[in-house]
Parts: sequence; C-alpha cells; structure tokens
Amino acid sequence: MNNCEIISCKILEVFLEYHTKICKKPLLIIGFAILMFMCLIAIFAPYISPHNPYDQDLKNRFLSPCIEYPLGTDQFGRCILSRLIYGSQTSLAVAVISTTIVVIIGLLVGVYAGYFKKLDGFLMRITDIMLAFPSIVITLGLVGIFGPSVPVIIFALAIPGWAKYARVTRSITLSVKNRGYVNNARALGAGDRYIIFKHILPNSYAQVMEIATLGLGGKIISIAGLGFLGLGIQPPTSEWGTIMSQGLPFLTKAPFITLSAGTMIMIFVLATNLIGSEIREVLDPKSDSIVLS
Amino acid sequence: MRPYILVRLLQTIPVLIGISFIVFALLYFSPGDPAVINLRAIMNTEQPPPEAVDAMRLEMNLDKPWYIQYGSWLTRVASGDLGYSYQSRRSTYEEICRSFPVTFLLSTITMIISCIIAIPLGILSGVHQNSLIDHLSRTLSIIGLSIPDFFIGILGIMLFSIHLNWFPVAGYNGVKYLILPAMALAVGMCAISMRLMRTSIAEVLEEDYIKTAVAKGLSKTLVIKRHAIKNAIIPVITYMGTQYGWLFGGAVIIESLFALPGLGRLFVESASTRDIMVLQGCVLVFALVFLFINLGIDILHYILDPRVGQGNE
Repeated sequence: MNNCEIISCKILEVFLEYHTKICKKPLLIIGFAILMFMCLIAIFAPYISPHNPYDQDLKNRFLSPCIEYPLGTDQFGRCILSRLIYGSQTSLAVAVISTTIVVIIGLLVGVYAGYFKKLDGFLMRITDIMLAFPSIVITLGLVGIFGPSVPVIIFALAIPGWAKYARVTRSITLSVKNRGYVNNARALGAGDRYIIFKHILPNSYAQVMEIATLGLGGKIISIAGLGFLGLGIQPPTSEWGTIMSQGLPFLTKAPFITLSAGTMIMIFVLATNLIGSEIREVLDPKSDSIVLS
Repeated sequence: MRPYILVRLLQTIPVLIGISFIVFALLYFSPGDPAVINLRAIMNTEQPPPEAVDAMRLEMNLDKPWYIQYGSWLTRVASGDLGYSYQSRRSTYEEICRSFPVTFLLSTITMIISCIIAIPLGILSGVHQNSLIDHLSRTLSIIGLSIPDFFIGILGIMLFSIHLNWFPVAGYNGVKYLILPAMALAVGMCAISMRLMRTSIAEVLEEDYIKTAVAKGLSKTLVIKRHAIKNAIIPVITYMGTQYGWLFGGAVIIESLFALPGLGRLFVESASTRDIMVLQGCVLVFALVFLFINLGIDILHYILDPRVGQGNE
C-alpha cells in the first residue's frame, strides 16, 4: 500500500469514525459542497464557460452583466465569467500542488525530528528560522529573484509553509513514539523506517489534514495576492488575482471585474475555512476552531 | 526570572545566524553581478568600465569562496552597507530608512484598531456564550478570515472613498491616508484575536478563583472586570504581539494597493524589477523586526505570567 492509499484510507476512517458527528455539522457539508463545486468547475471549464476566455471583442468593452455575458466584459471585451472559470483551474492547481509539497516536507521533517533525537535540535532550529519570516516575504523574494513562472511560484509558496506542519507532526511523534504498540513493533524487529511510516505518521494525518484545508485557502489568497501585485501567473493566462488588479483602474466604470473575482476567492476560502474549523471541532471539541489556524 | 530570559536570548542567536544565511543566499544565487549593480549607482553610468568592475569585485571579495563572501557581506551589513538600488541608484539603507516610518505607523494604527474592536467583542461573546452576539461575532470572524485583505481594501475604497468620500483613495500625505489601509488589515486580525479572547475568557471563567469571587458575593461584572480579564488577556496580547511583527512584512499587498511609500511597496517594487540589493535589505529588515518583536513579546509574556518559564528547559 503506498502512502497515498494510506492517507485516503485514513481520511475514510476518520470520516466513518465521526460519521454521526459530521451529519450534525451542516457547515462542514456546505463547505465540502462549495469545494466540490469549485473543483468541478475547474475540471469542466471548457464545457461550461460561455465564451473563450481569451477572445477579445473590442466592440463590447465594459459591458454590464447581461444574458450574453452573465458577469459583463473587461477592458478587452473578454467574458469575465469565462475568465473566472478558467482562472479557477490555475489557482486550484497551483494551490493543491504547493499544499501537497508543503504537507510532505512538513510531515517528513516533523516525524524525523521527533523520532531521532540527534536530528531534533538541528531540524527544529531550521523550523524556527523559517518561522522568522512572514511567508509572503519569502514567497515574494523568491519570485522576485527567479521570475514569476509557474514552477517558481509553486516552490515559492511551498518553501515557507512547511514549518507549521513540522511542529505539529513532531509533537505528535514525541507523544506516541514510546507507546506500547510502537515498542512492540520494535521488539518484533521492525525497522525505523517501517515504524515511522506505518505506526507513527498515521497518528498525525487527521490534524495535518485540518491544517492543510485551512492552508489551501491561505495558498489561494497568496496566489491571488501575487497575481494582484503582477508577480503571479502571468497574463494572458487568466487568474483571479490578476483579474482583480486589471479591473482596478475601472473600479467606478466597471466594478464587476474586480468584485466578481474577489467574491470567487472569498467563497473558496470561506469553504476551506468552514471545513477546517469544523474538522477541528469534530476532532477536538474543546478547542476553538479558527484560533490556531 | 533571569535564566528564562537568558535562555530565550541565547535561542535567538542561531535564528539570527540562519536569517543571515538565507538573506545572503538570496544575493548569492541571484543572477546579476553585485559589483556591477553597486558601481552603476556609485559612478552613475549604465556601463561601468571593466577595470572598475574588477576592482570592485576584489573589494567585495566576490572572487573568493562563498564563506569568505559571506564573512565580508556580514561585515558590510553590520556597518549598515546593504548595497545600492539598481533602480533609484540610492543606497538601500537610505531607501529603507525612508520607508520604515510609514510601515511602522500603518502597523501601529492597525494594532490599535484591532485592539479596540476585538477585545471588547471577544469578552462579550465569551461571557455570553451561545448568545446572539456570540453567534454574530463567530459568523463575522469566519467571514472576515475568508476575505483577502486586498479585497477588503478595494471594498473599502469603493465605499468610503468613492461613494462617501470620507478618505482619500491612495497615496500618502499624513495619518488620514493610513486609516483605510489599516482598517483593511485589521479585519483579519480582529477575526482571530476576537476568537482567542472569547476562548480565553471562557476558560478563565471556569477557574476556581472566579467561582470563589462569585460565591463571595461580588457582582459578575466586577468579577470579570477585576479578575477574569487580567488573566484572560495574556494569550491575546501574546498573539497580537506576534501579529504586530508579522504586519511589517504582511502589509505588502495593502501598501501596494493604497500606494503607500512603505517598506512593503519598496519590497514589491524591488521584487518586480529584480532590484536585488533592495530586495535582500527588505527581507532582512522584515525578519529582524519579526524576530525582535517576538523576543520582546516572549519576555513581556514571562513578566506578566512567570509560569511560562517553568516548563521551558
């Protein structure tokens, strides 16, 4: 069984275990519904968007919402709704890939720091150093130096984020590594790597899942922020943040350009925040959901 | 008291070294020759003569292995020499000194606004749990967390600057220009600190000494005012303190949106034009500010609540 399968099994397990509790959480279901909806939009973008997002129609610039163009048109006469739909592809893909990288690095650093005492001091100091920079600073710095291409953006988003996951994974590892079942496995001759991946790491999946959903929303905001500053995924590829900043000079004339893109980001992040905070409440009813995000 | 502060100070040293390595690495791995960049600014020509470049490379130790380069870079930084801007041809130090006050003011105003809003609301919803105000503040905080700050800024511009004409749209000419950006930044911070205040006060209200005070016959408001808030506010202050340090670098997008001549905009401009000397200078300043504010907050936390030192090492 590879790691991916273990993770999906674990997710399923968590869900079955808390099935009844989840049914009482309408917000969680709403959040999931929005998220699924967004994913479907991104996947089926070519089929559902009413126009080609790159087709310019200079006769129809700055149209207000109408039947032909449900959200109006921008300064080049491009359909905003189509641009938003296509924009979800780029934003989602970059966010999901960078979050995955972040989670993997964080899990590995955390579990190795917690499990091997020799590595602990060194790895945790590196984590401290990473936490000393606001994440947007590292991201912008890297993009500034290496230029705004998609791989650079993905890595620039992934590099500052893992420290939080590492901290959580490390503390979970420390708390389970001397439990009976781990010692039994060791006595039966299991190697370190087997113990780490089979017995220790699965303990942290639930909590990491929750930080990751909240993190996904954060990544979407960062991507949009980069695009907004003109340092994100470069035009003509449509991207939410870029659409927002392009609409800025026409805020009085055609507010729909900026507002609709902003609303899309908001809805997506709202969904991830709802899911994340509700998962936390299910896992640990005492703590307050969003505080530690 | 002393040992904890000493340990905390010592812990800062490896982080400082790490920060210096990262900032140096930014410069080291960047395309472009630092000697040429500096000479352009000093000699004020687009193409500095090759002999001068060679001399400058020798002077900056750019021909030596990386650890010697690091050493000479560190001595230069320690004396305030962060190189020259590729764009404006002024020194990075000068540029940073010019924009620091704006960012400092912006962060401070943001902090003040969020304290005024978040703390009372958090106390109210913590004391009256599951009441209308609690549900309202919870909903507001989740929504507030979900809106990117620059979108709030845009909405603010539309409402307060364009429609109501209360605040200027952008630019900087006095504190009035900072209110709207500060409000945009405060929303996200309020959302979290309010929840934190709520949880914290709800926890404190369960403590025995509060029950004793109530049993003694003190009124509930008096108990909350005199006993509960004092203890409950400590984690909120700690959190807000770290956020204060974060704001210096976290306000980059808002500063660009409102065209404020602060550190954030300097940083974004240097990133878009690959003005590497200014970029690394900004990264260094952001990290140092964040680090030292955190250090200060930890020490303050210890003074307010000496229990923190006991579990630590």
